[in-house]
Amino acid sequence: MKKYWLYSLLISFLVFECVAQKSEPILYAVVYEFVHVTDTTKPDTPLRTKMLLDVGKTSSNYCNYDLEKKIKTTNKKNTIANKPMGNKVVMGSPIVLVNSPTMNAEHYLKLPLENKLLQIEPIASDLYCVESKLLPIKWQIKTETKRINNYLCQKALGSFGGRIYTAWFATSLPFNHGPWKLWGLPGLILEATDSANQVKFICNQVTKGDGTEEVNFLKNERLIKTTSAKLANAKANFNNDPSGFAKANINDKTVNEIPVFYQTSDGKFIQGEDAKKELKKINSTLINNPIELTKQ
Amino acid sequence: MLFKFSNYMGLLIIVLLTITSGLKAQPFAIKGLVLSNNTKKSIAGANVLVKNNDSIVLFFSTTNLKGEFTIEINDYLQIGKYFLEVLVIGYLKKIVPLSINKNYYTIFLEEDPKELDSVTVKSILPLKKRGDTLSYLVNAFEKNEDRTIGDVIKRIPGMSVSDNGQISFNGKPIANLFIQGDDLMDGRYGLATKSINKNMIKSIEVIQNFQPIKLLQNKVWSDDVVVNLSLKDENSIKVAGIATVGGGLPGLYDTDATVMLFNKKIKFLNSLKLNNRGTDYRNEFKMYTQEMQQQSLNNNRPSKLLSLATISNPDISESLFYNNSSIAANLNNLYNTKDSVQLKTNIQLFKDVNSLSFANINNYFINNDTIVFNQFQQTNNTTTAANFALTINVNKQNKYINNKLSILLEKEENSANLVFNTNAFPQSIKNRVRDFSNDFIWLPLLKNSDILSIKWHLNYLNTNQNLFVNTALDSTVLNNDKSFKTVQQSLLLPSFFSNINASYIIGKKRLITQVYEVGFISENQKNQSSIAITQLNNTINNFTGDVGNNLNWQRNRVFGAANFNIDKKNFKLNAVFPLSYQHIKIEQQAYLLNEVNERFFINPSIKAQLYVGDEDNLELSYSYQNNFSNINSVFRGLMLTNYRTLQNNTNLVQEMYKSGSGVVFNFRRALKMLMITTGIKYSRNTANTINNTTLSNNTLQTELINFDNQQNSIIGNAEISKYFFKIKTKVLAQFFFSRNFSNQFVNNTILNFTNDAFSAAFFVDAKITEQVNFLYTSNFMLNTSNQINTNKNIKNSFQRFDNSAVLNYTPKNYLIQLRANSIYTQQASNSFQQFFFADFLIRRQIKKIDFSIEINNVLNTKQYQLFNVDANVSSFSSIPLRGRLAIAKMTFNF
Repeated sequence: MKKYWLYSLLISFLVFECVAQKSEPILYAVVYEFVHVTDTTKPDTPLRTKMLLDVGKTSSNYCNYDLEKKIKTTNKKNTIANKPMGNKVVMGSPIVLVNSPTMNAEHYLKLPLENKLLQIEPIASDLYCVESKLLPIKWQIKTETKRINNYLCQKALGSFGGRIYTAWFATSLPFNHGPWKLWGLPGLILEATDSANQVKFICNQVTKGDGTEEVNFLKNERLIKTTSAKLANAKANFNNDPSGFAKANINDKTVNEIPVFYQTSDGKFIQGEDAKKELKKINSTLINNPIELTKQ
Repeated sequence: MLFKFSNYMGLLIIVLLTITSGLKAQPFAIKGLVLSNNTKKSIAGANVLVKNNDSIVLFFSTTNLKGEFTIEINDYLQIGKYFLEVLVIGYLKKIVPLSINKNYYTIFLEEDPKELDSVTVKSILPLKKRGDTLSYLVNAFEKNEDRTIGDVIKRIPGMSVSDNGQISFNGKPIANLFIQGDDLMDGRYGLATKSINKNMIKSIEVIQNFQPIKLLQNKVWSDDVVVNLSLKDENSIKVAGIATVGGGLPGLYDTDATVMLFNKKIKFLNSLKLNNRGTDYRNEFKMYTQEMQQQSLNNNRPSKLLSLATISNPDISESLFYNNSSIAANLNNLYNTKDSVQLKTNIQLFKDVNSLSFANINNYFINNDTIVFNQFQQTNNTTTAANFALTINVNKQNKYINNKLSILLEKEENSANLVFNTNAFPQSIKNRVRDFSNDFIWLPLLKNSDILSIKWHLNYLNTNQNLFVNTALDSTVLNNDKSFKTVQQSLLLPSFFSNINASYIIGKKRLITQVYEVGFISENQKNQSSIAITQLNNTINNFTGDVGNNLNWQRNRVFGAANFNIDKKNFKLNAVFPLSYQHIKIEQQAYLLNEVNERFFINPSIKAQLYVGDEDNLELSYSYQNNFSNINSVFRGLMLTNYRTLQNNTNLVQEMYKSGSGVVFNFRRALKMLMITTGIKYSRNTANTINNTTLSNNTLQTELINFDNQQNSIIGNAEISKYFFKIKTKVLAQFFFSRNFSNQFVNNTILNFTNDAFSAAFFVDAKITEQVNFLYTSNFMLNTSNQINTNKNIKNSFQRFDNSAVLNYTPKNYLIQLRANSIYTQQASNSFQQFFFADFLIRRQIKKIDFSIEINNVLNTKQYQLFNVDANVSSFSSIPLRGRLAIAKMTFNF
């Protein structure tokens, strides 16, 4: 009798699992140049990052282009080099990797039908997820139009996070998505600039997906739910002592040192003393002008 | 007053503004529903635009989950000039003119097959799995002081390397080590870990779900974790090597040379080593996977029965007590032909001479009596062994064949001078083992995606043992109460085993992976033994109490197994249901023994892992097993298994039923740097036999008899670890408790025992500065044995407290290491014992040469003692140690 109880418990979990998952292929991928004046005392040296928006039928995922491309090529190289080994999944606890501010590893997954925004960020070997409501933006549609990458775009004005954005959307790309937390126009947002000219998202490439990749590629990963305050605190701790942070989360007392790597903006990895210098730079960099001036 | 007025004023302004804007706006809303023309189902997320004639969007909305939309239009008077455009991916654009008289629109969209099918450019990012490959680049983990790949592997989080080179990942030994995809070392990878230069290796890959068979790739996932060393240059023709010359005091040498070459076509790793400083090369030849393999094949090989009754190795570092001179050659050569055919030979040759002396006291507590066995032995042991393996492998996309032939020959000659209670006499033993096996695997390609695999394992093992005891300890049983000179026990244990099985794997990816297996096992074992007694007048005759053994054991088993696997994000399940029919026949005419044991049984095992939170999971397991002994539990003729023990059996086939269930809860808060694991396990063993032990002053006679013998055990453990940021220190605490109920049948009395074990461990890992690292481990253990069925409570206990500290100081090009270890033991009645050990190591690197000086046992501790308690036996052993050893070494890397 005891056994049957166990079986039925297991089976019920199984059924629950099957229902819960849905997949959505990437239909379009948009590359943006993201320009952000993080320090207003140095307006001439803004942070420049290449970002990517993967768009599916209803959802979208916004993340760092260079970082993702880097991971992709590394994976590819490895599969070629180890051909005799064939297909494999490489697992294990990673080294500690600290990214240059231009290689930020955040992901913004927007799910408008569920009214959800998932901010996913890897720290050390774990993926953390902050779930919040997808905040609506009251857009004012203007009649001006222009062409961006051959797509006819129309202008709209909206305010978000204490900034007023001028956005350009293409109705021929019938999605409500846009870069970062911007969304809610009747067409993909291909360009957005704030009125102070301190934050810019400018599209420089639109590609069609082949339908084989999924927008929410992390759906099968274990995500640790947290709040944005806790995540920020963890991030500060991590930047302060990356090796210690990683060590604390590894259940093996034989490990006594985890090396710290720093990934530069051109994707190179440096370690040792050089990495420490870069880390110091990050911790001392002044950010007096965050992208969100007010919390919603 | 004025203040209050201003408040009201503000409110008034807001109200007025609202009214005026309301008057101005003239709100007008159009509503509607968007449906698919093909399915008539609503479409969510469709963009509904109100455009003017210039195709400019003026107003818009998006359909909700029900396909409904509402658009507010300010200037409704213009509405006749506007039209509605509905766009959604996968459907054709639809344009509907708006009318001032209509405010509800039902819009049907036609599917656009082109939109979804068109393949233009591959998506920018095929990102499926976040690759952790970077983590294994050798230079990511290496430190300057590292030389071999084993040094680097140690640094990879989650990995550990034992002294003999065995690698574990997350506490579980890895299945194998590969060099650029090739299993050069044939499972005995210890030498590779310890001698491959880190500079030859580009990356270390820890591969989970490893599948070396090309045919099965993408189809069958195995649970195995393997490590692959990926080469920097796979076309290299450079022979690399490592050579060490070492010498020290007193009269020590430690020298080795290893040459290796790794490229696509040829790989070899050959080494020659010799030492007398306490390194046992047997560990390097260990085939880490062999034990597991024989078990999974269900090959119940009979173990050696005769021995010198020496003690097992003490739980301290080998170099403290192992008095040896050893030489070993390890030759591994592999050749890949162009058409995926691989030839491989693995040869190990080994000779070891060692001596050990020890004193050992065993106290047997029987009701109101205590029998004491007190022995002192000085042993000299010589072992010569040779191991050959030849493997032919064809690994293609459409074919897989593997055949491995292995031969192991081993000769041991051990002798001892012995003082037992009040008798002094010499004894010796000769063991000869011949072990041949052949493994054949064939995987044909099937037309569907299913897989058939056929495996055949053949094994012939012959153990020949001869024990000489130059005294007559027990003449009552052995020689009708007459004194005699010496006794010789000879034993021949040939064993033949064959397991042929076929498995069928349903290859299509489904929720549940299914594997079906059928097979046939045939096992034949023999026990041929006799006792020869040399009388006082030098005539030799056989033991007259019985005719000795000439026993035949035949076991045949037909089995089938179904294996189900579910692997989901939040839930994992593995269930195996092996069904077997088994027929055992034991036969020896002289004892009128002609017994058949026929059984039909199932050995189910279920394991499940369930995530109960983002970071927490629960592991549940249950298994039930029917185990059967081998020939070693049924022989009838008396055997002298060591100078003081006589053994025979009256039972039939020994059967054991073992059920076990367990729960483990893993709790983790990564952000708080806290991890807790706790678990509880209960197991119940039932056997149909018990050892009936008869103790007299000088002998122990055991007889396995039929008896309903139950043993239960419960084990609980907990582990907590926390990292403290401010002081960069990790602290870990472990607790363990077990209670075990067992029976002993001594001098015709059944005794019931409970054994309790408790242990607590504490571990600190602190990084004091960049170059100084400090590790501290403390371990407390308490063992108690309690006899529960007597009025007089017989209780036995001992406790042990271990403390060890390691200090590493690594200035540039140097490694300075200090290790200190203290062991404190106390037995209930005895006074406590305390031992201190310390080691020192300094290493300096100059280009390709390492210089090192090692001092082991700095404090020159000369004696080590250990206690143990188990049911009604308490034992005490004392071993002289080698004392302080100092050795200087020079290692060349070329």
